[in-house]
Order: sequence, then C-alpha cells, then structure tokens
Amino acid sequence: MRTFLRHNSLSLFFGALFVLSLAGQSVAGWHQLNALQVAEHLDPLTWTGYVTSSDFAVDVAENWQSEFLQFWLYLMATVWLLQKGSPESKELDKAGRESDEDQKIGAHAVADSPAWARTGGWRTRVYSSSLAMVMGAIFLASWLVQSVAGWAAFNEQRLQQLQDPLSWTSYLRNADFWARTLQNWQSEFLAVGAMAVLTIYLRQRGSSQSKPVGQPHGSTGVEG
Amino acid sequence: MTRTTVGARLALTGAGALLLAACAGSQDAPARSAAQQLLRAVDTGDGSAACALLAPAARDELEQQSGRPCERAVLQEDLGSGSGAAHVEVYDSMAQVRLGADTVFLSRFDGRWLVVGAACTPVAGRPYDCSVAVP
Repeated sequence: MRTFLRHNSLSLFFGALFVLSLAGQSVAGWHQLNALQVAEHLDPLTWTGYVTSSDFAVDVAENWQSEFLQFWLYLMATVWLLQKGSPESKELDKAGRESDEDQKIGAHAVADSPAWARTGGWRTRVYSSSLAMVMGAIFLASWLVQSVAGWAAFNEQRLQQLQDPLSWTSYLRNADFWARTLQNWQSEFLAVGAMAVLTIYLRQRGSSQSKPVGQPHGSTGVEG
Repeated sequence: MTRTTVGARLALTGAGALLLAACAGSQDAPARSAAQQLLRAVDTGDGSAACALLAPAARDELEQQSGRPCERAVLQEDLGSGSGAAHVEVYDSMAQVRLGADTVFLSRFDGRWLVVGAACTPVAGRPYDCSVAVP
C-alpha cells in the first residue's frame, strides 16, 4: 500500500487538489451567485441547485477546455517547434515525428513495448497519436459544454434583465462566449511560454521539469 | 492523469449537459401555466389570485408605484388577453412565456414560478418596458 502511494503520489496529489478545489469552487460560486440573486430580488439557490446549474457548469467547463487545449497544443507544437536551452524542447536536430527506430515502433519495438506499438498498421498509427487524440477530444467536448452551459447562463441573465434570449448559434458569435474563452486561453499560453523560456535560465533542483542545477543554459532537451 | 479519470470526467460533463437540457424542458409547462393563470386572473377580475402569482418584489413595486393594494392595482394594468400560441423558453431559474402578442417573464421561487415582468412592451435593442416588474 505504501509503495503504491509512493509510486502514484504525483497523480494522487493532483487528484486530491482537483477534488478539493472543485468543492471549494462550488461553495464560493454558490455564495457569489446567491449574492447576485438577492440583489436582483430573486430567490437564492440551494447548493444542489447551484452545482446542477448552467452557471456552475460554464465556470467549470471554460477552465477545463483551456487546460486541455494547452496540453494538446503543447504536445503538438513540441513535435515540430524547438526552444534552444529549454528542457521542454527536444534536442535541436530532432524536430518532426522522428524515425521508427527513435520511437521504438514496429520492428524496433522492445520486449515490453505496448502491443499496439509493436503490431504495425493502423493500430500503431492510432497509438502513435493517442495522447493528442484524447487530449484534443476532451478539449472539444469541454468547449462544447462551455458553449451550451454558457448559452443557458447568459440567457438566464438576459431574462433577469427582461431581454429576449439568444439562439445557441447567436451566442457563439457573442462577446460573452469569446471573453470567457480567450481570458482562459491567454493565461494558459502565457504560462506555457513562460515555462519554456524560464527553464532555460532557472532551475528547480530535483524536478523532472527542470534541467539539473549545474546544466549549462545552452543545453536543450535535458531534464533533471 | 489516467485515461480512466479523463473518461469519467468527460462522461460527467456530458451527463451534466444532458441533465441541463432535460431540466429546462420539464419546466416549460409549469412556467406557461403560471403566466396563463396570471393573465386569466386579471381578465376575470381576481386581483388576489393575480397578486399571488407575482414575485414579492414585483408586488411591492406595484403597490409603491400605484399607492394602492396589489389586489386593486394589478387589475388596472393591461396585461393582455394571453390568447394565441404559447412559446416558452426556460433557462435555469428564469423563463420567458409568449402568449400571442403578450410577453411574461418569470423566475422560480422555492419551486414555484412567479412573475417578475408583465405588461411588457418590446423596445428595439434594449430590455422590455414592463409596467409590472421587479425594481
């Protein structure tokens, strides 16, 4: 049990942080919405009513979509794009999808390679992009949920203001949808870009995301 | 992050969206019924029944503006006949019911739909101008 916890501590730690943060968001968001409801002379919601509302769904989904977009883009961009000196980048002569030998697929698979890496054909092609496919699918699904929940929440607000609701397609062209989307995207892109550049010159001893402390600034694709 | 966790989150999100749509659809009939009852009550001169269908703040606002009890003041308002096809749109705790040319806005209070805007005139590019409304 202790070995299991130690060997999976990274995913368990972030899983716990996720659950605690989501619970905290549900309570803070509930109080925030009810303050607005009271100010508008409307009925406050129960916590259950809030966590099943479009207001909560859009706030959750807009962050999920941007996180998965960030990882999907980073995954795809780091196939082709390089950053000299960054441990986030591949070595400077390895841009592209690399050879079968480098990727240990087909005839170059090793004894404990995943079965679909060894088998060749469509299975190996699919498995070669499986991480990006799943990340991209979650991004698209989350963005779709954001658009539907955001549409409902926006229309609820319009009805409170005695205005006609909009259609979903009109909402997709509305500033509310794009403000929610882009405010999340810009922060994700800033964080990823900052990580790629700051890790050239700065170090965190012992982290897999940093170069070793004594590694020269010019070393590319070296992680601790 | 494992793929199982990702799949579970995705399923949860999709289920949430479906639930949202299902809940909105099930509220169409009660919202329409509340709007129709209000217009019928005013039409038949039943001020008490009409006021019971108004949100508390809308009732207070009507009394303050008219200087009369709600039961009498509401009968002076031209809320419309409510005849014609009904068109209902529900988004979470808010609803808009169109009954022919008449538009009514409602909000859910403790599980009941109450009117927050009635006797409404559309204004291009701006909110409706409603004689009976929350402040």
